[in-house]
Amino acid sequence: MPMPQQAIAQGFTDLTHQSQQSFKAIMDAMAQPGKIYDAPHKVDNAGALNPVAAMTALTLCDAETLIYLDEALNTPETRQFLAFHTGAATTSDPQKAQFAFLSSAEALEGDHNFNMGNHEYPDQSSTVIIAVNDLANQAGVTLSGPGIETSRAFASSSLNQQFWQQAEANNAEYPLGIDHIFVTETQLAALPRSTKIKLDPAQGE
Amino acid sequence: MSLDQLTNEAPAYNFAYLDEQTKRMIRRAILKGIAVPGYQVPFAAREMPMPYGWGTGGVQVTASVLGESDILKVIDQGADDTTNAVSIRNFFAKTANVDLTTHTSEATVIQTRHRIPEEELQEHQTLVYQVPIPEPLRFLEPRETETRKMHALSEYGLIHVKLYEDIATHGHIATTYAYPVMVEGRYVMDPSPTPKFDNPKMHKSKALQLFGAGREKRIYALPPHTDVVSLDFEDHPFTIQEWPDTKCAMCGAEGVYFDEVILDDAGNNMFVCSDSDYCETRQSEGHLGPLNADYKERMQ
Ligand SMILES: [Zn+2]
Repeated sequence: MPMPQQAIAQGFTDLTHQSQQSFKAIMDAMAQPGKIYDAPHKVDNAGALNPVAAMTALTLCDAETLIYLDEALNTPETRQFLAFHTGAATTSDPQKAQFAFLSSAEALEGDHNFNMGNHEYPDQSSTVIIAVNDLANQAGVTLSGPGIETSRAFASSSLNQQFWQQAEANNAEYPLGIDHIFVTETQLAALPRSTKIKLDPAQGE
Repeated sequence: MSLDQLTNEAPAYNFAYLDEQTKRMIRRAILKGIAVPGYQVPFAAREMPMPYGWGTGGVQVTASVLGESDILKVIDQGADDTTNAVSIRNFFAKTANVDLTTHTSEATVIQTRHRIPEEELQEHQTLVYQVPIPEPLRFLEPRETETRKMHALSEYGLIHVKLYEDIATHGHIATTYAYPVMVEGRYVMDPSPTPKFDNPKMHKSKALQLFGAGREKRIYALPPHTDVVSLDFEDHPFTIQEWPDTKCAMCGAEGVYFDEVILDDAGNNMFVCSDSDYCETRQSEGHLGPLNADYKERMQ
């Protein structure tokens, strides 16, 4: 590895407990799709990753996982941060990525080729962490399914109709599919493959 | 070195025993399990300082979710004071220094073998099951490659045949423990060796439910509010165990899961709540059953 041009930012200061607290937030988010959680830790200066994306990487990634970075995130600083703190290698092949970090949902448009798992091992799929500007439980799409008592309104200005159509198609492949974690600078929410999505009529036109 | 020095030394193990890399691997498996409810996620189970059959799978799951501020309850057959429950509770008291409780309502994490507490669980709670045999099709098909194919194709004819054979032989479905359930209309799941009495509590539970099988190296999960339906037939609907006209001898509860206690050689018996915390809480609230010493006192 070439010498970093600048000092690598600090990761977790208390690996054991900060990992656990971060995991708890991610687990709860995955178990209650669309519910918005404050990130218990924000990891600054993690290359191009936002602080909650960085928290997620430190919590879930290690030498046993391969990471995909979209173009905007794939900087030497990001790669150095991830290599130093997690030991995870990056891959340019979305199919091989256990975790994909995306600067926007655009990388999911079209034939994105992230791994949806297979029918015997649907767990062998990619988890996609997407940076968004905002998260809100207000009119946008309506989520339902496991983890949601009746339905949950969910919206983000960073997620357009094309994304939601893609997410609907992803759910239609259940139990195959990718799982999404949305991260702002301070918060997170998740959209596992099991969640059914109803596009808002106004948006659906 | 003195014993005092030994016990005052910094512990040689990590918080909750497992190393961080192992926890991360288990945490990744838990997330997949939550994303695909009822599907058995393989994981690289670690050796634990306790024998299989003592809940090593559940212990590894608990160790991976447990935090400093959690309050842990451990039950075995509904009771907090059995050997298995006590040893697991002591294990986490020692390795994670978390607060312990026997009260269901106080616990944030509950590890269980066999029972789901009578008191309804809430959204902030996680129930961790110790599972000996996670594969509901294993007794029908010993080959993992085959059972995996059946799950992949949602091909569950065999297990229906097995239940129907029960009806042909016994006139009813004889399975009372580990009674198979259908999760979200997709995966048949083994609810671990809980009595079928508890199956309805899994359905749309507010709590997150996590299942760990150590020897078989599988993790699976039910997020809150997940559809969990016990398999049955139109002409033989699923029913739970019932104890008609039975009250708990200690707290007077009805409609709970009972343990039968033999009182003497003459065959006298009584029924008491299997959930010891539920029973004790009711007694402390003044609910007394006919064999409760306080009840007798009150009647005199
Ligand atoms: Zn009782």
